[in-house]
Amino acid sequence: MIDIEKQLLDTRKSDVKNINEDEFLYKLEMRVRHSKDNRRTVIYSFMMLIVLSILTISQYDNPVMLDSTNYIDEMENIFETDLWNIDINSLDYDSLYLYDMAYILLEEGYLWEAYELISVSKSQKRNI
Amino acid sequence: MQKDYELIKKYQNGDQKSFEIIVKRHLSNTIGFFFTITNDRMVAEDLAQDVFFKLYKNLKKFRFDASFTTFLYRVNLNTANSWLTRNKWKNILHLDQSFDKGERDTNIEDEWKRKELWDSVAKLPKKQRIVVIMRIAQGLPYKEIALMTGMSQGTAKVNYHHALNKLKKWLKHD
Repeated sequence: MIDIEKQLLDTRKSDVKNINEDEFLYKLEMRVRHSKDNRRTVIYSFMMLIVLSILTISQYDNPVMLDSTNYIDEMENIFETDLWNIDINSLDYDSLYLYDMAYILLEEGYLWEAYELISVSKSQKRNI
Repeated sequence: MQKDYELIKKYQNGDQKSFEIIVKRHLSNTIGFFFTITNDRMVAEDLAQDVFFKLYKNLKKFRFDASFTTFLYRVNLNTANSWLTRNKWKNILHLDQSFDKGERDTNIEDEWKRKELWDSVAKLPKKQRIVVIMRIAQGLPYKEIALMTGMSQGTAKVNYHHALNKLKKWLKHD
């Protein structure tokens, strides 16, 4: 036998004594559990990413929904809780209303009544 | 006593206890194998953990084409080979450190010699290294080495002798 081979064979430790098998198995179990947890986390993260991607893609080309915002504005106008309406001249709204009324009267064939309505509004404005 | 393949079949059917029996049965040999190479009980146990963790994951797909022992040897070998490759540079650096010949502690001297030997094995070409590990650390005959590596018995023998000659040359020079 070559000397070097003998030296190598002398290092051989085929059997190791005093191994705590239960501790080894516990460590192995913990490692398996940890690996499973990691795997689950990766799968959940991936699923979340897919869901977010689908939600993002599905929103492309969709109009911006502002209905609810308009509704809130209207409600604020009704209850006059919006502060930016304070500077608005309410007479402008009144005149618009009068013109609409006059138009309706004209449509209905009440020509003179429409003329009278407009005259009244004009005289009211002048008085103010 | 239940045979390995019976335990594997049971494990494949969901019996975790069978796996524990397999681990306990092969633990001492596996740690011994890694202890020979690393000469560090902790590292040997860590590598054994790696092996049994790989087995835990892959044994469910085991198809009984080869014996379980051959399969285990193969996993051991791959793990040892990876460890040796990982530590190659570290080993080379360690070889550069000179041993203080003034010390007369035989234990330290023996330990150093052993380390020097296995660090040199790590520097061998892959095929030669595999044959040396199988032959020395696992004590396998050429027939089985040939079966596991896919090389002929003659090639295994030649690789082994080339490896020994190289080790002899390197250690003489060192």
